[in-house]
Amino acid sequence: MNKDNILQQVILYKQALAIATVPQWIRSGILLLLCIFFGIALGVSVFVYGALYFPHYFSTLTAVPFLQEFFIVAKNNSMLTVYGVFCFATLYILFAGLEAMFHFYYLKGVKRVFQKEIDSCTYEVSEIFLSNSSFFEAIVLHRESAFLWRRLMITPQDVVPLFSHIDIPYDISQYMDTDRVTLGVLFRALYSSNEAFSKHLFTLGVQKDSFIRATFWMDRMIENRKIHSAWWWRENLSKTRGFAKTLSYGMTQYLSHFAEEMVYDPK
Amino acid sequence: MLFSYFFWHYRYGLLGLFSITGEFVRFIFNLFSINLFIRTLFLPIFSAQITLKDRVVDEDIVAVLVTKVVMRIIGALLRTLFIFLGFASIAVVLIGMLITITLWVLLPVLLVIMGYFLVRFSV
Repeated sequence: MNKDNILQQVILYKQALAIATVPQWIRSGILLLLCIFFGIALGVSVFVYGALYFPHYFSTLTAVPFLQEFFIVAKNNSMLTVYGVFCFATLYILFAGLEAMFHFYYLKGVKRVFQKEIDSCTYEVSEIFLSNSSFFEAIVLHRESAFLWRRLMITPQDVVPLFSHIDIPYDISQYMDTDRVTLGVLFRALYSSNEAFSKHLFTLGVQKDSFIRATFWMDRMIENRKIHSAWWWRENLSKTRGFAKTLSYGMTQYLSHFAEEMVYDPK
Repeated sequence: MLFSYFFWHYRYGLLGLFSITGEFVRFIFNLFSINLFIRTLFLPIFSAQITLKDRVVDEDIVAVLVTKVVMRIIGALLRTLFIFLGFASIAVVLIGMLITITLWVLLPVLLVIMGYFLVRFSV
């Protein structure tokens, strides 16, 4: 696999990266607000149309002084309430859709779930390749790489000033142990392809085996976190044990086949 | 961006919703162990011992038979309840997902139509 092939795949992730430029808490806040507004608009709409067409059922509510005034205003603008429901519902679906699209691309490269897609890269790789800084800086200073540096007990500042100019080779397939490009694969390719970098790590006390193992460990950590975040996947849903299994298999009708009950016997 | 989103919305998003619906149904099926309960519907739920004042009576065949039958009936009733609850939950999930999928398909289209009318009436 060469860089062009990777870039072709990485380009697919640019929408997710664009969404990720807005912080997570702002996105969640917008979704929550839209959900609340949608609920309010729906409630008002049901109230107004219910009071218009089924006054008998809403007579108690419309008798409340505050609601009476509200009802008159809402009745005069009945189309507006429906319009509001529709607007908020649409906006909510669209924002939820954007969030879902982000998660789709974020979770796309998980190996243990999408095993059939052999030629793919992960979200982190796309972040590195579409970064404005140099390849080395992007990969070393990537937030997920912090796992690696912490485990190797060195800091990114130990390597960045010396090697910020280096890049991975155009054809990196000879340095890759799999077709799936992950952060760990890029680190291993970088280590194998650049002797100066590997020698410098050795002087810092990082041996080849330690580095390779740490990259695999980092990939596994990232993948585990992604799998845990997707609660709707079969991998997570199937962890919940059916409560009825105990009722059918743990009870005496099965156990009595294998054991005698311990009862007090005066003999 | 907008075109990419709409492409994803109707291509991968819709497929994802169908996939999630399947996963939820499968989850509830396993949670309520519907398959297992159907297979073990008439097995006795507990093994009650018939005891006299000071000893366990195992040789009284009629008493043992009656106890077993009662336990089987109780087990069948309890399991039927769980099976019913499981199917009811599946029905609720299916209805909810049907509404979600319908909104997912229709709302972006309606948004475009609404925008068109909004522009037309405001001009």
